[in-house]
Amino acid sequence: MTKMHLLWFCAFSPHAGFGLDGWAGPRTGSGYDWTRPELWQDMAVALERAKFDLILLGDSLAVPGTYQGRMDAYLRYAEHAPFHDPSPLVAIMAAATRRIGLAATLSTTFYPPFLLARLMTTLDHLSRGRIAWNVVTSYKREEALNFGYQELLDHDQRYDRADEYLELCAQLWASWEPDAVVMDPRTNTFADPAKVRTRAPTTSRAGHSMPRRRRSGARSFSRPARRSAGRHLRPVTPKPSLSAARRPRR
Amino acid sequence: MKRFYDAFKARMGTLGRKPDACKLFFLAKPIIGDTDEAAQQMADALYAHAPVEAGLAALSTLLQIDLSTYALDQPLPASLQRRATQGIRSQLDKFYVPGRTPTLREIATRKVSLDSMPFVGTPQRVADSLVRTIEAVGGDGFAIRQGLWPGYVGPFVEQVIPLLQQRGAARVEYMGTTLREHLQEF
Repeated sequence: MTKMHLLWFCAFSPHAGFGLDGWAGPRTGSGYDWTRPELWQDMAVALERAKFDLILLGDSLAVPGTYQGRMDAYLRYAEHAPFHDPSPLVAIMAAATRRIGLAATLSTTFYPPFLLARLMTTLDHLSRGRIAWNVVTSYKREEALNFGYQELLDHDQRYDRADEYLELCAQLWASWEPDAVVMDPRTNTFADPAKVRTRAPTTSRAGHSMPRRRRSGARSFSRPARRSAGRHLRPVTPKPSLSAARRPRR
Repeated sequence: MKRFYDAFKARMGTLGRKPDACKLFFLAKPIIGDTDEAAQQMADALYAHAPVEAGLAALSTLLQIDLSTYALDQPLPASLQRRATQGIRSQLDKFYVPGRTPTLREIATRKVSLDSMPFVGTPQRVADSLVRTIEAVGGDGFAIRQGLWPGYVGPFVEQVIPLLQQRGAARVEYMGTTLREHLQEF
């Protein structure tokens, strides 16, 4: 018998959309308020009891306005909006659980790499190694507008940047060697400077320092997306910068 | 599915990585009822109550194309069907299967969506289908794509999971403590 891995994918907004994800649907469950912690924590506990590998929270950084050039339909039907920031959500879910994995969606187009790498490392420690990052590049013009840009980078450019972004994050996560923290009171040494790389390149030139790739007309899980996935994706959490042995076990 | 799975695992090999180092999760949207008929009615009702405008709005943003200007009961222009869009490129593909050209309304109400495998039926039927699918593909797992609400989580974890566990098709206990360990456990 082949054993299956299981992931609960909470796509789009917490109560969004019509039909299956519908906030007005018959099966959403009364008594919960999606703006409060209990819904998120109780569902995480239930899925942990069922031994799910992980829960993945989707995200988007804007209320869309594509249809009719207005936000109206999106707001009326809670379509692709609103979203809580997934990072604090996974943090409170981690606090209520002990084993289940928790993935937050964060965009390589809008989060500075250093900020994201640090956030993930912190979450990784707080959750004792149960955090994952759902890597997305964003695709809505409205998301660009929310960050002060008039247009979004085009598809292939976003994936080129994402490639380089991931390499940069990997460097940042590796910048402290696993045994860099010695915490030795006798020598009054917290960390061994020889085991911490002085400075990772924290300013990303993502995408710009790479040779241009041929435009791809790939359909269905686009070629740049597949290439990035194959190159970088690991079913892992970022490497903790403190040695695992030092982390208290529950 | 099997072809996609095999190709992805082969790609891992050509990149010098172990095929098993990356897991694939196939999207699934189970709808569970006391009987197969009841489950099917639930599925139909959910789609029947979906406002077409909400579907159009959702698809418009995914494609980054304003669909309010296209005729509802006609197929989309062929140029649009084939266009590599700025948005999520696979969004339209899933509606087109050989021999079928859906209208915009059908797409917007997701009646013909192949987005997620719709496992509809009794807990037993849903469990059987999940097991059969993963056996046919050869491994890894499912991303259950639904709201994080008791009405969706409850029936799946209370009724389907025990059936999968009894058959040895799902985890009964965590062997490790980290997500990495869970994903590498089998």
